[in-house]
Amino acid sequence: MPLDFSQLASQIEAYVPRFTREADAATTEAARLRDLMAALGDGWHTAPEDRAALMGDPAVTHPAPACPASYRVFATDGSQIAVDRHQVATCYVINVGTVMIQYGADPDAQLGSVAHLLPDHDADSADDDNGDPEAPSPSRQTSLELERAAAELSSLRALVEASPPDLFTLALIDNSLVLWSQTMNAEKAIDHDIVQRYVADLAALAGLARTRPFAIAGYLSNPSSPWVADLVRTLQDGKPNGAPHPVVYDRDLFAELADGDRTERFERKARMLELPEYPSECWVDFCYLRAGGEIARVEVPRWVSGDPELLDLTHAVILDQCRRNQGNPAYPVALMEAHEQAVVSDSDRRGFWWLLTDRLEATGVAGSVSAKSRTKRTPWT
Amino acid sequence: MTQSAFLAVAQHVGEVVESATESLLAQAYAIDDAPRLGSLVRIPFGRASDGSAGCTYGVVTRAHTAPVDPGRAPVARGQSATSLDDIYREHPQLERLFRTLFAVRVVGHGAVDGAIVHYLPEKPPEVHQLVFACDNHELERFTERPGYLALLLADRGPIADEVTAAFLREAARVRGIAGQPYLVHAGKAMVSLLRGDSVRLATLLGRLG
Repeated sequence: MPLDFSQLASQIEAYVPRFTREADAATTEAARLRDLMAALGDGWHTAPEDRAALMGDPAVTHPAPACPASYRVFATDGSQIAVDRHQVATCYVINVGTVMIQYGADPDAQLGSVAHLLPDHDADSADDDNGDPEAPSPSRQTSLELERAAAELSSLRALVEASPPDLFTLALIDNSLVLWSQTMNAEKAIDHDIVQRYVADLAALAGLARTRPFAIAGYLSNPSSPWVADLVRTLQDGKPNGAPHPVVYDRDLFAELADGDRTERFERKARMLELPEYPSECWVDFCYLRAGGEIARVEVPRWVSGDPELLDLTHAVILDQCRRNQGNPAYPVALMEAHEQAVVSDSDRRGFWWLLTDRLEATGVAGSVSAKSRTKRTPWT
Repeated sequence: MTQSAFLAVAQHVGEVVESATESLLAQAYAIDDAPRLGSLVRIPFGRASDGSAGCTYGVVTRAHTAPVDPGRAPVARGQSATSLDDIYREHPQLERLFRTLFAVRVVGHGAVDGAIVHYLPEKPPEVHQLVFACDNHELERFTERPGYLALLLADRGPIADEVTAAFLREAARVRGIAGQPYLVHAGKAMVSLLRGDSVRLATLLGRLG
């Protein structure tokens, strides 16, 4: 049976008062934190456990700089065909959408995608605590997400390396520039092959920036980071005493940012970034930026944030990208197109599994598609 | 010039993406760059695409430009623009997000020995086969005899007669001063083929001027 909306409608009604109460409490708390932030003055400091550190005067905001008439933007975004234990083999596919758009005297665009078939390393590992091989594996999900993020950055690096160094070029991803999962132990993760590749790509891009006008940024729409709000609360209220407080995201804290403006920079703090073996050219800072109706978090490497001209160019191009995406919510057009290039449809997904099954069966490789999967392919009444 | 030699230098204008015995659909290589309505195209047979295995002849009956992804509705982009060029400069990716398709009605084929016949080939063209525009000489050669009219007039689609008229006008144009007698000759052939449908015949003849 399809989803019965009549059943859900009454449950939604029951939830509305709770949602409203939580939203009101968050609005009040955000206003309180804004007042506290304004009163902090020179009182900003950061404890080791904080997730962000201020790098300037928080009262200062930066208006939109002028955008160059000619520039090039690259963007990548990934999607996947996840491991499906009902299929003939345990593997997954990452599809990275790639975009180059060039504006100015010689406008051009190239849209494409790069698909990667990857073996499922988790198939042989027994790291699930419950030991149930059919249960969803958190580590499998995490490694897929990390692999996807690494593939996005790797494709971005390849695009930039293959481009001429003539124009200011901004490379965009819609992720954090810190490859980090809350479930990872930083000391172990830094040695992980995926993290090593990601950091190597980031370092290579930093090297490219020494030979051409280039910056990279992670653009996070509707970010759920509460780092600055938490920092303000900690500085003014002292350490949380365990009393629950309404969740305030940084996007709520900076809700009064004028359209096009960005906040002062903050240093991104994460355990992995503090490890001595983490390259300093991969340290990441962030700011918040209002593009249209939304506050976005923009992450940039320290070599971008430390160069006022490069940071202004990054800011200007991101806003220009949002402006060009007319008819849509303010979101960089290159990222939107990269997403569209990456999308794997249900039909693509079925086509992939069919191709793989057909090929393996033709070579006589043992493997079986589950009865459940076959039933889904040919449903009957 | 032999057919093979001609194919070696001719520029293809599209590529077959759907193929059937009586018609095919081709994709142009740039948006809004389909061959003209009513123009004659040639689709070779065989992997070599050099015409050595014969070819299909067809007439362009329709062109259509739409988003590559049918799920993405286009939105207006030109509120602050003064020309189409402004819009493409402002949004260079648009050229990659649309594609132009053109439909072709099969009106004959070329045999391996180079002879042209005005009936359907045994097989439809291969998918992804290249589509070539025919030059004046080839159009003149294809239209030497009016046998192609039977297949063109068999199409009863809403713009079929517009296509036939456009094709005949072009066949007359390439003949220079012999064009008018050619149209008279073709008109007589249509009188025979459209016996009993004088309204359609009159409409068609009215579009040949």
